[in-house]
Amino acid sequence: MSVLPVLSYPHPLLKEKMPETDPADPRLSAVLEDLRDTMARHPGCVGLAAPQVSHRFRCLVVDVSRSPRAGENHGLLALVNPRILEASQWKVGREGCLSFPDLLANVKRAQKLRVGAWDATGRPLDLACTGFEAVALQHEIDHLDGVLFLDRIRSSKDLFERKRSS
Amino acid sequence: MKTLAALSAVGKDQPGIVAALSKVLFEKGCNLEDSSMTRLKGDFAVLLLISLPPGLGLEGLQKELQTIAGQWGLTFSIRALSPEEASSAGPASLPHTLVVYGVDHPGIVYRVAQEAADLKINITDLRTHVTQGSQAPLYSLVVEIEIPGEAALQALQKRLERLRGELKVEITLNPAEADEL
Repeated sequence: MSVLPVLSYPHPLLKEKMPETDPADPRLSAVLEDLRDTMARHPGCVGLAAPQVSHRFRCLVVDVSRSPRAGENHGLLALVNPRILEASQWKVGREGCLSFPDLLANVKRAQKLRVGAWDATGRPLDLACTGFEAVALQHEIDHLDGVLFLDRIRSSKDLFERKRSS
Repeated sequence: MKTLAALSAVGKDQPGIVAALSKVLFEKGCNLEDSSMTRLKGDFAVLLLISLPPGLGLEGLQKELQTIAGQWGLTFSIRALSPEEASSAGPASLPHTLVVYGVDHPGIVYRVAQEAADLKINITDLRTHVTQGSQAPLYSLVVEIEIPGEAALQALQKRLERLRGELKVEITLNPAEADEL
């Protein structure tokens, strides 16, 4: 088990598109474990993508049940080669990202999502997600394409500095 | 037709500035047609578009504002808009949002704004943030622009591509679509 440092911008890996990952790759289970362990170390973190912890793999973890605003969810998800099959019910919501610790942004995301992927054991998955879980998945899938939440801002009023009490 | 005037004021931030300014305008019978007010570090900046009631000239208002400005330590200016300015809806355009972010260094705003200016692209809103990055401060800039046409849009995309490499920043250009919720 390892908790890895989370890369923050401008690390170049964050802007890179991750290659398709072989679901049978023997290194995969360790990568997913790193993602789970690292996410667990950050309170309030509900998702992490492989490039954020320096792994050049197309996989991610999401667990919105860690948040009080979770809504309906699948608990801990570890997905390999996730792809969005259907997206609907678009809504603007505020997001943060561990790779930009001091910024928040309003981003438009689908509230209803169907995602195809492989699980940690190489089985195909077809997931229907809603609300916060759908939003978290879109944010993490974007990371696998080198797309960061700032790239999705649509108005100058949609970027905020995070106010820290400490 | 009502007289429109543009008023700007800036000064050291303190509670009461907005109340003092809007009180004068209210008492003189002016309407706030549009406004933008914000705090930049320790200073407070006010931009107002006001309409004056019939019979009130700019001079009448100016005197009152002078008194308030003196009391609150504000530097201000006011000017009447010509009827053309007041009614201008602007040419048809393609509204877009430009997001630029990267390691902070001098010249980012200038270079981006100059590319827009060269293509007769109008900037309608601009905000910047400097936040802590992993090694150096991170600069982020969000600009709302009005692009006069398809040719200018394509030219801008080409210029931004070059700028991205030169400035070593990320640049995205998105159409500023209205939200349909």
